[in-house]
Amino acid sequence: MRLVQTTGAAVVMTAASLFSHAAEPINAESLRQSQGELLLQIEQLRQETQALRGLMEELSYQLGQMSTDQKTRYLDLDQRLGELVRIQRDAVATAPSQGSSVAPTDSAVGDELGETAAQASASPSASDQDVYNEAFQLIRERKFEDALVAMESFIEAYPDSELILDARFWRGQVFDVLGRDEEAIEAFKSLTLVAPDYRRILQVKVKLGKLLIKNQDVMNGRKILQEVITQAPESVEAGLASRELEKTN
Amino acid sequence: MNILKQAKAVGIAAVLAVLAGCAGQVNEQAGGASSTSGATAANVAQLKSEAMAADTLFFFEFDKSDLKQEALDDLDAHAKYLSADRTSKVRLEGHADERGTRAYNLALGERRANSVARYLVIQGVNRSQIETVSYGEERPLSLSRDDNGWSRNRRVELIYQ
Amino acid sequence: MRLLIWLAMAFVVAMPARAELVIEITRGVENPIKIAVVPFRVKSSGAFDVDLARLIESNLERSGQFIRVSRDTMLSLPGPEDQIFYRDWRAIDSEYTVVGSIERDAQGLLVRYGLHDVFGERVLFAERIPGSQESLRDIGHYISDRIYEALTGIKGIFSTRLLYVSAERRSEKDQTFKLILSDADGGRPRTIFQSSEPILSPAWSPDGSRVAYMSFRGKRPGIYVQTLATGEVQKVTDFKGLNSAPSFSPDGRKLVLTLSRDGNPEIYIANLRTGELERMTNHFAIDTEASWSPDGRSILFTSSRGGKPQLYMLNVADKTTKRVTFDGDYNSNGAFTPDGESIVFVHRTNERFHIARMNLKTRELRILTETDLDESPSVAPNGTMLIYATSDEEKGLLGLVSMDGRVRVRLPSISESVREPAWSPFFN
Repeated sequence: MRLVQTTGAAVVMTAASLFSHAAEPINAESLRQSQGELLLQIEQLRQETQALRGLMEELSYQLGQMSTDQKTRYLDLDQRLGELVRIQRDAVATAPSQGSSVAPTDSAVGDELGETAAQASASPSASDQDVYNEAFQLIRERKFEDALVAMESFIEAYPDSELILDARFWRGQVFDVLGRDEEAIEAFKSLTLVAPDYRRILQVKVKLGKLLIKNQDVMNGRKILQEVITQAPESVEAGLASRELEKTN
Repeated sequence: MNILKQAKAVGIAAVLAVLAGCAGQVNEQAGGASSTSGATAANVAQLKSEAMAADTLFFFEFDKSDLKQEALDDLDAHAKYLSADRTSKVRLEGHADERGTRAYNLALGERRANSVARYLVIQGVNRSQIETVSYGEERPLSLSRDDNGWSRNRRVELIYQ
Repeated sequence: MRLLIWLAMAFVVAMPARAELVIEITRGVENPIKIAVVPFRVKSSGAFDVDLARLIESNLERSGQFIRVSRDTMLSLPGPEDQIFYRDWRAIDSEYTVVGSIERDAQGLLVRYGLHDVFGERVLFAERIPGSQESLRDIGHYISDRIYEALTGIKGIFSTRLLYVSAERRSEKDQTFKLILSDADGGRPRTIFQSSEPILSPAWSPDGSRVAYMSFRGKRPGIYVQTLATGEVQKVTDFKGLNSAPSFSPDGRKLVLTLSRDGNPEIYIANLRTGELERMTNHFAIDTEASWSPDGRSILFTSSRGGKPQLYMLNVADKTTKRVTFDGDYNSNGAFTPDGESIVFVHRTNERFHIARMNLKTRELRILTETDLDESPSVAPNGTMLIYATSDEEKGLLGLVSMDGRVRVRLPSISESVREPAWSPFFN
């Protein structure tokens, strides 16, 4: 901006100096000379404004790029931190409800990363994280009815949150714990449809398979358990799935 | 952004306004001079021989159209003759080197020719005495593909008609 | 339909030019389709001056997606009526085999051909094409298109055409410029306009019936539109100053071009029917090399308003502009790909000029060529390749490059220096 003002000032000065020439008795030779100079100066000014324009275009483009990058980087960092925090908390939370939820891999990782996660949880986090944490705390305290209400209001309030799939996952788990099988099946089924790449999808499928079999839909239940085995034959979930399959044989 | 645009517009408008005013004065002045005091035939012949001895090739930097300082003395000689003899005419042919795209270079050649034309007009030559044309990169002087050849091709040729 | 148009166009032949372009493949592709084109059996007396099998295999090979099976290795040379022993073709690794015949009849001549899938052991299709001696190359291109499309799923470009400018220089001021129309393989070149003054920026109308270009008629440059079938020429502009870089609107009714009649090169839209002109840019820097987007809503152009030539996008409706290129200090002469999603242009890196492609959404930039002083990119109507101008030590040449930069083919000029190629649209 400063540069721009200086350029403007230079133009005005040039104009003024020319007027002072004009006020003198007319002298064609000196007029021509100053006009020649003026021409060169205009050319210089043009080049300068063009260069400035180019610089401005490039800077504003780079600024746009940088803020996009920054945002992406922040979101990435935020997600990684959130992941760590969740891994740790899930490990703690799944322990008391071992009978109804399946998260053995996570808890192993959680132990290892416990210390890092504790440090990470001290860093500032978005508000959706806070609401989610509160709802999750209720599960941990085994206040399942309250947890269900909290998770559902989270899902309603933050449909675009990165935690939305986790919230839907725990909502299904809570339904299951409360013995509301139909709603649990619905919750898990919709997860398999909308988020086939969700990191806990194998857990979701095992749970869904078990619930379907329990609720007399043996065919679909077996099918989905079979899917888990094909999808990730080496996984813990595949082991669980084959055990369930054996039971129904 | 807006401020820049305004500053630019105001600044350039001011300069152009002044320039336009002065150009008018100069033309009047020059016209008056030739009719009243009258350039003698000997004088014109003298100016002509000086102009014919002056350089008719003016060179430019890559992607630039501003005149180099060293071109001005020669251009002044042409301007003096052209403004003394209003029947004389020149054709300014603008050229570019082969680097860069052809249509862009055509525009660049024109800018170079116009740069020279504008300078001549300010030195008192009538616009009607000057014809400009651009050949872009289509008529290179030198065919060598190096800085030397390219610098010879980035030029304006001044040709008396 | 296609053939009919070609026949009509064959009469355009104004001044037959020497064969100027020869195909030369400089780089191949991974996993090209192996195809054997058996020499077409001549079933009547007298020779034909076009070797259809050669024409077809050269066409297919030039796409980079095919590789020919050499004639020497073929175990037999069957005709279209003969039984094909697929085992013989498998033995020489041919995936597909083309057999054909050609014969004179009362109407002119008849070409028969069939395409065989060697591994599937079946005929994919067979056709009979009547024609004449003059349309033999058209038939060859047509068969190439049919095979290409059947095996790649992409419409072939062998029946399209090229425009380019040749220049013969005796001295700085003694040159001959020719505007040349040729087949897509460089065959059948013919001069459609000739001048001792420069010819620049040839551009095709969207239906392929007309071409626009800059030339001098008299001492002044102007923009002219020439109808190919009749040779009729329409003057669009010849204002004082620049008249350059025309490009047709997608509906063929307008030209976008550069004029400096107001003292400075600006982009204008000219209505070809009414002659009406609309000024689209207003800047004291150079604005030129405008090119219309396929949807007609935007115009890509080169401007030095930022101190160095860069590409800008002009919104036709409200005349606002937006800078598009930010990599490198020289980006110019842009054109859209047929899908409108990418642009191709001349891009300078490390002091060398290359052809680059940029996706407008992802902004991914890919440099497609390796030579220096590459310019004038023009994309084939099926979007698989582009043709561009480059040069060796002495003269201008034309090159083809696939849109991923993997396949490069040179069309070296035998005699004259060639430049400014423009790839025609599809004719059907």
